This record gives sequence, structure tokens and C-alpha cells, in this order.
Amino acid sequence: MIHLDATGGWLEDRLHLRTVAARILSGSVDPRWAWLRTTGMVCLMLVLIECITGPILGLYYTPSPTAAYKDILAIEQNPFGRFLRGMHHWSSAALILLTVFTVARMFFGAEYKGRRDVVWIVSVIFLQVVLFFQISGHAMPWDTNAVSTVTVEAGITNNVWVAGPEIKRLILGGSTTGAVTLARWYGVHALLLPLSLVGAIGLPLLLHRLRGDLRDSWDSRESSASGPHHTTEHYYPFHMAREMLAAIGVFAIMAGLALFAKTPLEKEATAANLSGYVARSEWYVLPMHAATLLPPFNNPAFEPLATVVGPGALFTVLLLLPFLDRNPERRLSKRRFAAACGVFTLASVFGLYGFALVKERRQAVHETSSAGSSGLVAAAVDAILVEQGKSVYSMQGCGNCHTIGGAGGKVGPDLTKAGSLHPDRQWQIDHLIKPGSKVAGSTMPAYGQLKKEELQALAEYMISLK
Amino acid sequence: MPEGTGRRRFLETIIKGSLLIISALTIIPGVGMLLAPVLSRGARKLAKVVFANPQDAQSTTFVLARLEGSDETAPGVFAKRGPDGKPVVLSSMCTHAGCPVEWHGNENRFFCPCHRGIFDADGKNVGGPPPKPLARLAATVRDGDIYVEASEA
Repeated sequence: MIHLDATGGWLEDRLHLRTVAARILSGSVDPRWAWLRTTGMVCLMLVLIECITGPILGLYYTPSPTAAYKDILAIEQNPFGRFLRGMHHWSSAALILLTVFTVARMFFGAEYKGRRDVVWIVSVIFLQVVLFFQISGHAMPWDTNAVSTVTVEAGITNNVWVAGPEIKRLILGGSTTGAVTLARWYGVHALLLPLSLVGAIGLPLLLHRLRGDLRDSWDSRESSASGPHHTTEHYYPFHMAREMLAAIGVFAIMAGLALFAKTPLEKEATAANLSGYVARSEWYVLPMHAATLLPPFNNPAFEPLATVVGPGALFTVLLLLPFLDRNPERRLSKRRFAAACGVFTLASVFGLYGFALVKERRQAVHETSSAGSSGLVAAAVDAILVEQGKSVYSMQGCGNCHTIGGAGGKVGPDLTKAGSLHPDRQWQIDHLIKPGSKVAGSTMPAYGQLKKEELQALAEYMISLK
Repeated sequence: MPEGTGRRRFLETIIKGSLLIISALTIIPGVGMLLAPVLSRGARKLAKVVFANPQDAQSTTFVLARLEGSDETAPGVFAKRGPDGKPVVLSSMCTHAGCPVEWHGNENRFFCPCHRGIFDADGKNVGGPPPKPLARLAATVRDGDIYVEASEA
């Protein structure tokens, strides 16, 4: 019935492809609410798009603060690259929406009961993986938004009780947002998460389907539980055609966005661009941000309840739901407690979302981050300035005369302790512009011709030498 | 089921067609991007020859330099001014196996340490395995700096 074997039986003999396909496509489904049940396949297709576009983009991407942003600009220069980046971006957003919808549908439709409980557990893990993909992927362009978001996220974890500072160091790979941060987030996004996608989601789903005829088993159970017998239809090709039509519709929207909408990219994360920059929170974390604005969570001591404990508890309950809810009823009218919990959760999330929109997004993030991360943003800016100062130092040949850490010339004084001697920024800048005004009899050439940013960076580097 | 067969065929076409459209419209741009380094090979631009010591731009003997904007790991070039002041720029990449050659000023020749290839001061292959002379880059002078034509990226 399924024609996959164009190789005269060779593939079938070696790989059992036809048997496997028949097994996967077997079974029948309940035709009620059929279009709502297409979102799982749409998610699968979106994952397929991510898995094709991601590695190609990766070929033209260097996970380093000095190169990442330029690489994204170069990708945007290539029409294919622009399209692939757009597809990768918009599909990731659609994945979050559709995965949340699918999990909610499975909850209210009691699809976590019976032998499909494993599909439910895999779906909840999938939602978590999709969110981690999104959060880590957001850092890849290393623009002002990415750096600020990473820094604010680290600041939020810093407020977690007991282990906060340790978690922050884990996320940043050190004490400030920098090259190591980008390297580890890239590793998570491009190596660890894809592996977990294969191992924790793809493999269990495949094995589950190969077990065979599972749709039958739960559908017949549901039919008997809900009284009157409903007609069923074969999954292939009847329901699958519906799924693929939904997938092609979503694909068309994604392609339209990739072709005609601008894929977000802000300015390069230089110190000048970052100073005064306030990260707006991304739409998928808005409910959480809104929660941190409400009492008692707006008190830093209770903030982790909204940012870590709450979401963590929700995911744990969802994960264990098949074992917590032993009520065999599938009809919503007989599952009042579960229905109430579900409605309450959805209402809270959407209510917080609306609240955040009303409360003016920019303001919202600024207040959230004030509890410890605005200092972090400043530290990140300083760290970037110091790096730029180092490169100004070497470009201007300062090391021809001065010694730092044992390296350099003997004409000028050793700068190893420059920051301890003159910790004042303005002193350093004035000295660079007119050395004689600060150090009597100085023979150092004046560097007033440097740009203002270069002088600031060089001054910051000097101050960092202690 | 004779009346169901036509519908079944139609639905199977929808399934296969959708799969084909989604994968093709993702994979074709993917392959296009994958081949970008090959497709954009023709583009050329002027690149400045950068010397470690700026005065070397006037040197009448070969000095190793690099092209502005090139990677640290990219092979450098040898540049000098001819008797008429016109620049001579040779690629430092040996035509045999791609090793960087060395300028041996006292012997007035280039030497490749990998397989003992030898080129004369015009870059002509005069000994060892190299099959061709060192590549000569079209060079011009602007404001005292040497520029060569190089392939883009």
C-alpha cells in the first residue's frame, strides 16, 4: 500500500523500510477535532526546517565576540543566507507557540492517559528543549540585544537563593559576559540541545510508534469510556493529509516572513552601543517578567519564586502528570479538578502576558534587571571597553615604550599598576590628550588625535591594571 | 473500495507533494548557501599590502607582508620596489604543495623548506618539485602604499 521501495527490494531487505513505514503509518484516529490534532506533525516539520537551516548557518558562523556579528552581517548579504536565517528565526518562534498549543490540547483532551502517556512526557520535555534552544539561539548574533539579554538572564539567576552566584558563573562561564559565554552558549545551542533532541525526543517517539497500533488502543478505550461508539478513520492517508496541509500552510507563513519581514538584528555589541542600552524582554519570557513586577515577587528576596521555582514546579507537575492524575475519565466534564487547574494556569500565563504588554515592556525589563543585573550590564560594558583598550594599546604601539607585565619597551614607565596609581578615568583621558598637563616634564607624545571612544577604551584598560 | 481509491490517491499526492515542497524549498537555498564560497569566487577587490614596519613599503629587496583584511593564517606576500620604483608582489605560497616559501636574500632566491623547492628572484621555478613560478599579483601604488588585486574573502 505504501510505495517507498524503488530499489527492487534491496532497501527493504536490508533496512525493512517498507515494514517500518507501514508500522509507523498504521492505526486509526478519531476524526473529531481532527484539525486541532495536526499541530504535532507541524512541529515535526518545523524541527526539520531548523535542522536543515541551522547547520548551514553554522558553516558561516564563528562563536566569538569579535567575529559573530560580522558573520551574521555577511550571512544577511547572501540572498540564500538571508532566507535561511529568516526561516531559522521565525520557525523557532512558531515552534514555541505550536508546542505550547499542542501540550495544552493534549492536557484538555486527556491525551496523557493510557498508553500515550509517553508521548505526553516527551512533548513536555520537547517544550523545555525548544525554550532552551530559543534562549541560547538568541545570543548567537552577539548584538546589543543578545549581550544585554544574556547579562540580564545571568542577573536573574544570581538572585536565586543559596546557589545564585554559582549558577550565574555557570551561565556566563566566568564573572562577566564575554567570549567564554558565547562559546558555551553556542556549544549548548548547536551541540548539546540537538543531541538531546535526538536522544530524548526522536528516539522515544520512534520506538513508541514502532510498538504499533497504539492509536487504536487509546481510541477504542476513549470510545468505550465516552459511551456512544464513534467512527474512526485510518491515519494514513486520511489524517496525515490533513497534517501535511497544515504543515504547508505554516511553512508558507514562515517563508513569507523570511522573505518579506526583517529578521531582528540590532547594533554590534560594542561598549559605545551598549552604554545606555536597555534590553527589552522577548515575548516568550514576558509572563515571567510580568510576574516579577507584582508583589511579593517584586521583592528581590522572593523574585526566584516567579523566575525559577514557579516555572520549575509547573514543568515538574506537567512531566509527572500521567502519574499524578489517576482519574480514568477522559471527558472534560468528568475531570473538573484537572480542567480547573488547566484553565487557571492558562489564564495566569495570558493574564501576565497582557499585564506586561500594558505595563510598557521596556520599563518592565529595566525594573526586573535592577535587582542585580544592571550592575552586571555595566560590568560587561567595562569588560568590553578593556578589551578594546588593549587593542588600541597594541595598535598605537604603546608597548614600544611602556612595559606591562614584563613585556614592552624601557623608554616609558611600567604601566603594570597604572590603575592603582591613577584610578580616575578623566585623569587618564586628560593625560593621554596632553601628558605634560598631568606629569611634569613628560616626554610621552600626545594622543589627542585618537577618537573619543578609543581614549575611553584606553583609559578603561589603564584603570583595569592593578 | 473502488470509490475510495481516487480520494486515497489524491490524499497521498497531497502528503508527498507537501513533503517535497517543504524539503525542496528548504534544501535548495541551503545548498545555494553551502556553495557560496564557490559561487562568489569571481569577485575581486583591491587590497592594501601591509608591512610590519611601514618603511618597508619602499624596500628594494623582498619583504614578507600581508594583505589587509586577510586572515592571520592566510599566506602572506613578498613585496619590493623594482629599479623604476614600480612594485613587485609575489605570493608566498609554493606552487608545489602550498607551503610558505622563504626569501634567502644572500642567495637571491626563494626557498621552500617543505620539499626543497627553489625559485629565482623573479619567482621562476628553478629547482626542486615546484611545477610553476610563484604567482605574481598585479600591483599599483597609491599614496605611497602598495595595493594588489585579490579575490574577495
